Amino acid sequence: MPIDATIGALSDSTRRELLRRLADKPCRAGELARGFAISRPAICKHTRMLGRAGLIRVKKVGRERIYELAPRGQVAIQELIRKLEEVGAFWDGTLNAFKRYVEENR
Amino acid sequence: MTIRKAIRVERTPEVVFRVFTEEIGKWWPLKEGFSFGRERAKDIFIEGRVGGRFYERFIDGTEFEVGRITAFQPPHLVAFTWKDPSWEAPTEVEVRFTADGAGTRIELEHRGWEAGPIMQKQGQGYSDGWGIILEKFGAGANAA
Repeated sequence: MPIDATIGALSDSTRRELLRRLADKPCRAGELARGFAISRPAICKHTRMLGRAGLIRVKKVGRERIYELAPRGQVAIQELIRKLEEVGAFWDGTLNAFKRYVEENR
Repeated sequence: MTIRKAIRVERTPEVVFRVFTEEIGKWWPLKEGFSFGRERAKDIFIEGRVGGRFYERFIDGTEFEVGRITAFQPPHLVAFTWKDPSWEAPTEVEVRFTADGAGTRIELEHRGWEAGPIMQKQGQGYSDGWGIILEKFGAGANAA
């Protein structure tokens, strides 16, 4: 299950993408905001929301602001990935059992 | 966000749909752990109508309702809600059957995770992490 799908539990696609980037590696503010169609202030609003939710945090290194996934964000994402992988494996198992049954008995 | 699975079966959609729904008790791998009743699991049923139940029957005769049928269009589509007893909210499963040469392509989608159904009531994990996250996003978490 790609990390993208997991983070989809947050319905906003911009926040999903921000989290996906930070799940890869910590980012400078400028780097994190790069490539979005919406304005920089709008991105800041989303990162503040993610910060307030305890998912990400900001470190100051000299004059740079570095964003990273907070421990709670990591735990939540890993737990969700694990759970969704279980559900996916469940459906693989049932669909394969179905195929075997139909093709052997009909 | 959606879990998607697909498989091809070498029978026509008519046969595949009928066996999938009417004969679910014969093919569902209940004894291999694909059950809510575990060792108590005895049988599983899909009632073939909108509003019908998707349920499991245990050896002592008690039943567990997994969900309700929300669409029933033979031989193309069956959809139902799906709620694990430990989840806080139901999810939705949709299974489509499409003719594919002499066989059938089955596409299964399991949706509805945005509402945070797998936050566990009792526990650690998401209730401390994901639950709070979704709560703080409030209405935003229900969009799209």
